Amino acid sequence: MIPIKYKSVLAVVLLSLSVQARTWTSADGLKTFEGEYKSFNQEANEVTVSRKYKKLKFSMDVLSQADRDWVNVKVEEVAALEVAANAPTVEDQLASQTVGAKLNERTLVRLEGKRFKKAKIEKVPEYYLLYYTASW
Amino acid sequence: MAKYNKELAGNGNVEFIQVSLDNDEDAALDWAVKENFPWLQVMKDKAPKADLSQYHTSGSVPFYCFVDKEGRVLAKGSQASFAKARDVAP
Repeated sequence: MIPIKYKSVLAVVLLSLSVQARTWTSADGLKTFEGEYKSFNQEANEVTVSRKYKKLKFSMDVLSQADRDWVNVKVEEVAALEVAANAPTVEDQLASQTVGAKLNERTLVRLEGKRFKKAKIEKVPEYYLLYYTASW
Repeated sequence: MAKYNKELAGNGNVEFIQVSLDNDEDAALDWAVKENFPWLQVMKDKAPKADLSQYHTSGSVPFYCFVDKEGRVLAKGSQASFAKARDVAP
């Protein structure tokens, strides 16, 4: 359940994760070059790296073990963030409920200080305890 | 309030909603301020829009009704409603 406002933050994080400059090292340890990690194609076992506005593709086999480990961690981080970014929001889940769909800032208030202010449900409850009452 | 704090405040499966039947919102506000109600409330004029009027089947207050997310009534009355809330606590 990721609030909408955090989704844009996640998108930025995803973007930043996919553009990280790094010194890459060949499997034999003899060559290095600077480049930004772009993506990993699992089927082809290929890493795409950007260098001076050019995209280069390398088989994971030609990279050092440290680079391969780094890419694997990065792939897992990106995948986890994508799952979080695509998770339904609290609002989405409430909208799918018969009761929750009508309980929102148009109908709910909460006491803040000495005033009622528009409010919303911040979790996705399975149940509601309704308390009908009056001050008199 | 003590019952709410003890039995519902930490219950992630249940949302406690007060439906105010005060005609005068200022009176509802004065009472809420005096008691420092922490929960969400629906004012009387918004209850139809929130589709909550249908569950108030008693002519008196206070009245408790425990419903699931699809609006199925599972319990009525304070004792039964709080018991259900305890049953579904995570």
